[in-house]
Amino acid sequence: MTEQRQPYRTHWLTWFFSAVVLIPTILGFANKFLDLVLVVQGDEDGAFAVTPICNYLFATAGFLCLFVWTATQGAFQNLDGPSHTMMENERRFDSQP
Amino acid sequence: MSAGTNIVTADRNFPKHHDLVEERLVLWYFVAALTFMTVSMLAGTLMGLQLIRHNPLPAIEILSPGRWRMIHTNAIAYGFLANAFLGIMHWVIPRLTLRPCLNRQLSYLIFAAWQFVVLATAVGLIFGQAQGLEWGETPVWIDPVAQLGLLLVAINFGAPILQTRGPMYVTLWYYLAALVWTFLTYAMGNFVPEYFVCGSSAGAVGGLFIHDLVGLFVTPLGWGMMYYFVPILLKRPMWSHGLSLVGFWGLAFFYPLQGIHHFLYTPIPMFLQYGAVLSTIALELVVVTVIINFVGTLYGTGGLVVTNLPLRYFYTGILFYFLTCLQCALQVTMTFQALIHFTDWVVGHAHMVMFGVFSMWQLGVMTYLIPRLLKTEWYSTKWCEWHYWASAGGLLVMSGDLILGGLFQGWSWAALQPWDASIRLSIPFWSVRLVAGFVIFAAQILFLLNFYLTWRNAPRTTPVTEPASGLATA
Repeated sequence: MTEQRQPYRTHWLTWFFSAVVLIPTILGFANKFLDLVLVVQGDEDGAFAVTPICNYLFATAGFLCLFVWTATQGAFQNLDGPSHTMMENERRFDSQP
Repeated sequence: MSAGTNIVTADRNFPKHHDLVEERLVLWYFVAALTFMTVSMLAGTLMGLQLIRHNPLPAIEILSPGRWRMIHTNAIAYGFLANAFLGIMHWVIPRLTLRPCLNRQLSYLIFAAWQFVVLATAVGLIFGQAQGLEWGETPVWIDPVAQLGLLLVAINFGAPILQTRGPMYVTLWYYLAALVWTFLTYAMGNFVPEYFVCGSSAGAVGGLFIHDLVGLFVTPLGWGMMYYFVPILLKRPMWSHGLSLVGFWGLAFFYPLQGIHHFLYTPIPMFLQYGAVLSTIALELVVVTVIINFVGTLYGTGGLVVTNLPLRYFYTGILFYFLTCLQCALQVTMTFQALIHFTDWVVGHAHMVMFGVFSMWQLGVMTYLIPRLLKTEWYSTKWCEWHYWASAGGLLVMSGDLILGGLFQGWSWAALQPWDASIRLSIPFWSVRLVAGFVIFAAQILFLLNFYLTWRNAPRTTPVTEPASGLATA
């Protein structure tokens, strides 16, 4: 019984935390990015802030590429599989003479 | 055939540990790490003496406190943490991917090159060649060498990770990201402000660099390490591997913007400052997922934290991590920042992160791995216990003292008292910090001595793969 409920709970928690983290942060960042556009259009002195924003976008774009790549590798199909595989492989390592 | 695909079904086809892991190199990295930690703590002690007006090396320019302070921070970041991480990665990555690192000779070359980078940085700092950027003081002529070294590290460790097929274990996600982003973060901090931008923009980039160095270099390597060692010591998989991936991607997307929270109330546009505040608070939610996952993994076996010393190190670090992140969510708010900006609160926070979390984790891993690497028990398990308690207790006193002292400094400045008044009220806090620092330093010397005596007693042959130390029995 416990074994059947555990995947449901972890599955639900994963999606819950994904939503709690992703939605407000995306909204917050989009809002601040809009502020940046307005600053650059109306106040040239604020344009220097483009550098850190570009750095951030560069970094995030890298992660986005990594995210897409890993999704295409099927990384999100069997979420707990790698964890069990790791434990089993470690057991085999430790049983070696 | 990797942690990312199927369990190898035939044991005879399963790769041998000694074919994958270059154990001698792991040991060498640990020796280098602990040596630089000793240097760093010596420098920190000298700086602590200077703050209470007892500089033991007065009127010697190359040994002036400002330079010692940079030795203290750089030696701990690039000398201790980086070396220990590299050594641990030489153990973890081959065992997870079931493949050795790309090239054995390259591994040794990287080891030698990294020691050269750290030593050259120390010499450059002593002779006044520091760049004007916190954590990025490495002299300009070393930067290209360090950058090349980081590229080689990424290639050497990235090759076996990229050869895995199918879903990867979360540790490999963290490691892969760290390899890429350490390279980019180092380039951003050491080249962009030096050659491409100036003024407030350089300050903003500097803010990103300072925090990304913690969040995109130290943090992913640290958590990657924890996701590997905690399940092994508990002999059970993580409570939720899916939740660990939420933590990873949350870190990946929300960490990079928050560095500017180091420069609140500066000429940097307010929308950037608020953006940093927002992303910092958002990241606290991510941290909660990680903490829940590790507490969930421990659930039902909490007693092991008492009996298993490496695990105790790990969960002590996790507790400090939670405290620092909670502190971070508070201190990045504009109201709180107005009080604690430039005070010792920040210094206490930094010590709790760098020593209380990441150094404690690495010392825990060393406590676990050194007996396995040397194939013998610790020379003195009692000394290991002393090492833990003095390190954890000393750090608790030091960070608590500095955090409290920071509040007093902030209130003194807010009341517009003369600068001297804030110095006078700080002296007792700095004195307590120095005593706590002595305790931590003594603990590390004891650990080094224990390591040396254990190594001296180590047999030349007779491989042992099960944990040799009674400290790590689950």
